[in-house]
Amino acid sequence: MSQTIYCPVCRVNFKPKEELKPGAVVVCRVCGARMEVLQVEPEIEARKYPQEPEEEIYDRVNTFAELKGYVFKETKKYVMDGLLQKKEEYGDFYCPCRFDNIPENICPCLETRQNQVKKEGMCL
Amino acid sequence: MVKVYALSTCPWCKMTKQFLDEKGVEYDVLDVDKLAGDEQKQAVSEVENLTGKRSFPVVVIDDKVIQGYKPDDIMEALGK
Repeated sequence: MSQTIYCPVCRVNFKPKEELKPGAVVVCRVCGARMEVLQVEPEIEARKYPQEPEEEIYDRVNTFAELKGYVFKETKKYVMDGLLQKKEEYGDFYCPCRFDNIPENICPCLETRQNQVKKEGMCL
Repeated sequence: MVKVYALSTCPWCKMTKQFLDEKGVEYDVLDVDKLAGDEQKQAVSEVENLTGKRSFPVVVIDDKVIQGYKPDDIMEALGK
């Protein structure tokens, strides 16, 4: 009986800390995505917590920054606008500064999830 | 000769263009995501050859290549 949750954003399976019940809201500790537990038996099934695009990406990026202890620069708004533009044009929050609209580049991108930001202090 | 490879969604690209405008620098710009077909493929492979990545902005000043929004590096490359 699999007791891990699959995060559809960063495509990672992780073990939830707390005991889960259907309807519970869980945050992915790798990328900050918010999820809603649909069922627990026989396997945990969760989906992205339904949110408006703008709410979803701000929530995700803020949660991610909190988890990692990052602080945003004043240019955050511009990057968020770029993400929303990509969501509108290509259907997901692909990095606004990368050409390829692929899962690895869904914000927070794979590089950033792997602590690339820490060394350079700015994603990208 | 100054060339800027940009994406229309990228805020750093907008800032790079604004910076060059403010400094009165003439430059050619390619909004790569708005190109199509071979022209787009060509531009992306140029960026990849220059930087090893497919990220933007990329500013080329004569033989110097600057990846990302780096005004100081741009000024230095311009010899200003």
